[in-house]
Amino acid sequence: MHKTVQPESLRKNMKLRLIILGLSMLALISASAGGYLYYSSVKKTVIKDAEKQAYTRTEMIKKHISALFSEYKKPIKILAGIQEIPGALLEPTPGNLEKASLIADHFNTSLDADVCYITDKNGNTIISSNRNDPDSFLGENFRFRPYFQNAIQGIPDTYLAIGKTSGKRGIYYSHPVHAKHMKEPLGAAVIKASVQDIEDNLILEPGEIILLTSPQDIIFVSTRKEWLYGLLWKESENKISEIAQTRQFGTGPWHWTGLKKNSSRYAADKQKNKYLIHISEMDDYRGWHIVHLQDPGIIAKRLSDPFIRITGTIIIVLGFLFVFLVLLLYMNAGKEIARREKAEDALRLAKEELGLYTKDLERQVAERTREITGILKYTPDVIYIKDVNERYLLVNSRYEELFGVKNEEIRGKTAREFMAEDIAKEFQISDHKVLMEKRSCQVEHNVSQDGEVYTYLSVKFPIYDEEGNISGVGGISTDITVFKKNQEQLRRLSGSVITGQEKERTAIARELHDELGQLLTALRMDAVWILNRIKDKDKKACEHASAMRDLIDKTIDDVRSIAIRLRPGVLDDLGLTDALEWLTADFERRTGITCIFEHSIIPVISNTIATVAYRIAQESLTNIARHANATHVDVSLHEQNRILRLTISDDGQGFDILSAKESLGLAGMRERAGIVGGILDIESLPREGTRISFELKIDAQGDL
Amino acid sequence: MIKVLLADDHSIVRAGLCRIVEESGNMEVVAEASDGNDAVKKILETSPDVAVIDISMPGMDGLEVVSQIKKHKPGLPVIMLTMHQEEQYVVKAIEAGAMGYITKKSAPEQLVDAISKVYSGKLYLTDEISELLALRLARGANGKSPLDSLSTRELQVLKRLAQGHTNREIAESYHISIKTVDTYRFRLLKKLNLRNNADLSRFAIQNNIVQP
Repeated sequence: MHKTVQPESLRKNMKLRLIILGLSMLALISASAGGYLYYSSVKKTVIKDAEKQAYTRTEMIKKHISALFSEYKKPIKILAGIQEIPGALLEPTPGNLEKASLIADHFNTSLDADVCYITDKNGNTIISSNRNDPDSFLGENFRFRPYFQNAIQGIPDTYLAIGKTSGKRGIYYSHPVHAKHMKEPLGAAVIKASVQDIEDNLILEPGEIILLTSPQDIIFVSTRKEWLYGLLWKESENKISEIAQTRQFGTGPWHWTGLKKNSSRYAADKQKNKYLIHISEMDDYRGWHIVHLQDPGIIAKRLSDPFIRITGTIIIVLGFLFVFLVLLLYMNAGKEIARREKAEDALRLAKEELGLYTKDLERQVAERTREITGILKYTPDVIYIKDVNERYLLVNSRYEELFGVKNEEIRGKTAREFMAEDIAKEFQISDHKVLMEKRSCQVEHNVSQDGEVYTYLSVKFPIYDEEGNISGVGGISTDITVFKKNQEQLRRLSGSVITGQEKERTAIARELHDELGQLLTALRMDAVWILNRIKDKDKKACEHASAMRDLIDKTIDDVRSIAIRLRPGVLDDLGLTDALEWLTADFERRTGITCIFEHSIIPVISNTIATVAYRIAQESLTNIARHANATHVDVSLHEQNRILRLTISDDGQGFDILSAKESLGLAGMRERAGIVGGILDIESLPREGTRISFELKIDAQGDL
Repeated sequence: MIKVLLADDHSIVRAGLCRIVEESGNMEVVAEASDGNDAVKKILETSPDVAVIDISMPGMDGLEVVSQIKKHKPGLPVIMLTMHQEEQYVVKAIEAGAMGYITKKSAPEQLVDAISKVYSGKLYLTDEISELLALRLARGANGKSPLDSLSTRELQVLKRLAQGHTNREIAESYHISIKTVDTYRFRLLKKLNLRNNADLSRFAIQNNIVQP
């Protein structure tokens, strides 16, 4: 054993060391993770700040650009209103044109604009401040520009576009030119200013890009030169051809900057540089947007530099402490390993034992299962188990035979699904009762099979799960058809025995009472006659005759009592009520036990029923006299709703019905009650008296 | 001479009875019958003064014979004669309309006496029977009354108590225990919703069970 322990312990030793190392790595990782989490949470705050800042910046820029855009709105209005301009348009004589041109030049110089020019109502430029330059507008037609179209409609406009002749970005301010008292404009006055100033005037933060985009997403102003005139987002061919038609941004092609939106907050360019993005629409120029992009790396760097400076020292100190801790743990581990080896030995032994025990248990379970399976298979009884929803879980082979089904087929089904409805219903009522009342019950079922009716006695019982909740119902049914038949036969037999006996008793009693009794009576008359004749003559003969009379009297009494005991004439002559009245009075006289008979008016009943009731009362009273030790007996006979009820109750010592074997007397009473289809109920408790009641529907009369 | 009809299905008994009647000196047997139908027929034929009829006879029994006689000859006194000694028979006989009731056993001693008594228009009854009869009549006369709920024995005890008899005396006269008498008394008080013996007496007088 020692040999096998050594390498194993070594291996375990190594394992433990590995575990410690692993743990220390884990600690390191979790520390870094903690640091990282802290860092990222700070970063999140910083980025949020940056977003807020971006918003403020964008709003500022927006205001700035808006201010620039409105710079020439007033001057253009003034230009359009100067007298010479409509004059030149109305009468384009060289003199008038010259005058107007001078005014345009003057405006251009004093405003420091790019070009000032006037178009007639067809869009042809008739006056321009750059008339002497190579890219002169004179004679050029601008009717395709929306700013012209608006002006000629009477609406001043501001418009951003790339110049048709110069190819430079410009901001165009247009204003309609009116002659006095004329409603229709004569033409339009236009000032074109440079957009370059906007870019020049923007002060950028590090990592910041600012764009101004047109409603078509063309980048019109950009702090990043290579994106200028490009498309901010990727667009379809259709859209691009639409852009070309407006001629607003030159002739193209308009390349895509490569920007893509990752989320609502981030976008990335072709080089996968990530940007924090913020877009805001210009207030007075619908569709024009200020796009603010910011490199989050730079924001992060702004944060991390001081962070590393502060935490560096702390991390080094912690590192040292950590190494020391690992060493300490490593040393302790040695001791721990020895202790563990011992414990493991014990554990192994226990495991081996447990293994043996488990095997034994398994063997036992298998054995029991085999036994139970055998019982289920070979028992003549029908056995089944159902779940709480009355669905079959298991039936035994006898069940399969009886109903012609297979276990697998009916599993999960209810009785109604494969049995005749009436039988299923009969079965289910008792099953349901067991589930509801949570206690076992016994029922008899009649099942028709091959044209014959079989009687089954079923014991049904609840099944519980581990928690003691009801989980199903089980049933065991025994074929008692033969038993039932025998019982019925026996019942008929004993019935006929009793009936026969009763007939015989009646005959003998009548014979005794009527024949022998009458003879004795006649004899007595003679004896009295003789006695009267010799009264004063022969004293000796007189004594004999007197003795003879007394003897006859006694004999008459004896015969009478024998006859009555066999069968009282009152019962036949006067009926049950009178017979019971006599019986109870006689009982009281003979035993001294108070016996009170109480009755209501009883309808005419058959002789058989009267006899049965009388015999039950007689037998009960005999039992009371012999065993009950009672002082008081109540006998009552009543009829209500065609139900005859006879009760005999005493205040005697009673007996335990369950433990006492039923005496022949009680069995006889039951038999008699059964003959007429009545029910005999015996209630008795030790020291609390006995109560025997016989109940019978009078309509169901038997024949004697 | 009092003309007597004897009806009994036992000829030997009938012969004995015949002799008792004949030997009395002032009575004669004018007809004998061996069953009920025969008796009714002979009564109509011979018009006796008194009929002595056995209760248990084949065919029509004695009680039925009495009912028949009451229809045809309401004035004819009938004495019921029986082998039975149970009081239940007596009550039935009297209810059916008999004027007297004797057992065959006591015939030699009582028959002549009974015939003379009923002949003179009186009832021939023993003390006990007359009492029973009185109680039955009292109950019947009152129609629906608290008496209906009482048994015969309870009525008997009520009458005796009302007459001032002690429990012991009542027990002795009915051959029952004192305790039983007390039980009957208790039940009487309960059934009639009364409190004591004085109440019982007043109740008995009011219901004509005893004379004041």
